[in-house]
Amino acid sequence: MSWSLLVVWSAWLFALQGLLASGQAGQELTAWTPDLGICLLLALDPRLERSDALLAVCIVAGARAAFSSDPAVAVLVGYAALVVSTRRLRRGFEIDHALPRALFAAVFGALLTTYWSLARSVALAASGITVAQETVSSGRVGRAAVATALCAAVLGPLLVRLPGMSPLRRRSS
Amino acid sequence: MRRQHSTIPWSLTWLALCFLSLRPYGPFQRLVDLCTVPLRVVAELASPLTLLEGSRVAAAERSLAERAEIAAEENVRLLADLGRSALPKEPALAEGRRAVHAEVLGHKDWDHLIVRLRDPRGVDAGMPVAFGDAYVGRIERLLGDSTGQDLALVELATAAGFFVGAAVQAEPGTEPVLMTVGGVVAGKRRHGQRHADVLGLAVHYPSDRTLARGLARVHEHFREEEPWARLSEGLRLGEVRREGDQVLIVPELDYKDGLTQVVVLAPPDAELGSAVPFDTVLYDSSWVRARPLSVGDPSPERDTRKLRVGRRHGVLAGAAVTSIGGHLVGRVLRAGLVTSDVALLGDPGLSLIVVARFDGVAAPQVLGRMLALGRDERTEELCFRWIVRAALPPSLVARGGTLHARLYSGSGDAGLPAGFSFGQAQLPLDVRPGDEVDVRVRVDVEPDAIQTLFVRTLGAPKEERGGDA
Repeated sequence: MSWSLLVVWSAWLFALQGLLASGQAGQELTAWTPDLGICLLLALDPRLERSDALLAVCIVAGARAAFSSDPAVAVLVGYAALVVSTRRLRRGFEIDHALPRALFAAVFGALLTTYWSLARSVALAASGITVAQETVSSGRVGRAAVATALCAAVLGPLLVRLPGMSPLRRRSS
Repeated sequence: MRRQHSTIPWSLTWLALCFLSLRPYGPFQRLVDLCTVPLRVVAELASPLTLLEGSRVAAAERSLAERAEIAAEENVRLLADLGRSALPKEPALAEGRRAVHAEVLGHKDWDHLIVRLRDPRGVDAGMPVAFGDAYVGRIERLLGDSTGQDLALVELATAAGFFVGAAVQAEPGTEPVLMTVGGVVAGKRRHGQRHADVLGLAVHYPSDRTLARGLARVHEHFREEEPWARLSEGLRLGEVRREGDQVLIVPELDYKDGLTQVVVLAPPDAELGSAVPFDTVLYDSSWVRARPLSVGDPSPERDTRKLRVGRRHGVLAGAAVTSIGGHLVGRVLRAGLVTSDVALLGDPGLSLIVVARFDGVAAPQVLGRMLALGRDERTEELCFRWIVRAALPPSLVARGGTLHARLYSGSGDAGLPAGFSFGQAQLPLDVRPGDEVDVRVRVDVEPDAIQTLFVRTLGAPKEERGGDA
């Protein structure tokens, strides 16, 4: 049941992210669109077993791919890298407090934006088109990273308290 | 040790997926397509969000519906004018020939066009193909009508193995210089970049090697051996230019992206009558209606939508997506089994062949290819890059400065028919082949304001425009 609800909440989060990114909620917010997938995974991951974390990555990546034109495999690879890196880092550092989580979210926000743009550019280059890379400026990547960091710090704890998520929260406790 | 065993396969899988995300591999891509079919259900979970804009959408669509008839008339008029532009203008070139309209559907490769013939009767392999007074190439073979269309393959004058006789009258009253033309001369231009490394058509065996200028026209040397040679006689190939010790011809056409309608020149036939332009495709049955599944792409730099139609409904990548009233709003980027991704006009990398109708100029002008660069963050206008491969007509260049134009889709890419209006822009007139000009376009329809879309189907027609998916 809790996994099904994770699907529902992920779908709604990415639909809202799409609403922000498309400018329908205000053009000035477009560049400041956070990656809610990163926020959700960073909030969930410390509370999940390894096998559950893999399932969570698949669900969140699938939900994003349901709304995004970025290649589904690139989305999966990106979110998997995020979760694996968090788990590795957690062995040596405390990264589940607001500040380190925000920092980690910012780094991955920038990395994933760049990686998905790269995947898109490679696909375009294969058809002889070489303009897309110009559209992802460092300014845009920076603003997306800051927005993701803020969301991870502020919304992170709230995301795992969404209705139906408590069984996931209690799994590892 | 146990950890090593469990980590390595996962790491290898991750690396393999990372590689495949950057280097798509056909069979794997098809597997991913199949595995992602259930994601439509996931997207449907959040579809109530699309109802948020209900009243705004209804008002915008009502307004489009009220103007639909005007837009359709515009489409019909543009196709008729494009058809007229394709006919030879010089009286000597129009005489003794029957022009058969052909719509460019796409390129088989750099040097071959696939065209749809308006009327295949009397058309045969070897017949010349022209655009206005300019020579394009020859019909290589007729492809039959297995898809319900009369298709033909045209070999362009740019093909390496293509040869056509030509003559240049350098000075009035002098002997014309004879030569053979075919293939291209490649090299860096003195200006411009990336997209225009082809300098012109190659000249072989000129009878005068000092030739430096003049207009080259088709003049087949062995007319008795070529059954249709006389039909191409006099068609323009372009201006001769000398680049160092090399003579080449600067063509009047963009052979790659500047051909949307052409004519096949056939022998006159009283029974078959004169040229008839193409009808609009606006009302044919190769459209499927669809509503978007999502309100936007989660990536802010992208401008795409998911639609509830896919390959099962006859939709293929590249297909045109229009609004009510036939305004182009985007093209299908990826067609899944039951959903498709649509790149809207603001999605960076969207590419289309563009026809412009300049203010105060009757004939439409095929501009060539434009690439979307995205939306300007300050003005919200769409930015496009116009890749110039052929100069505008001298009458326009002489005006200088910029001129307002309405922009339409041109055919030449699979799934994108000509004549769909999408916006307006101020276009510079003094452009040269090799230039890449950034243009700001004010679009007819903001995709956020509409939810009824029509997608061109490339396969067998499924339902009439108006049918719901």
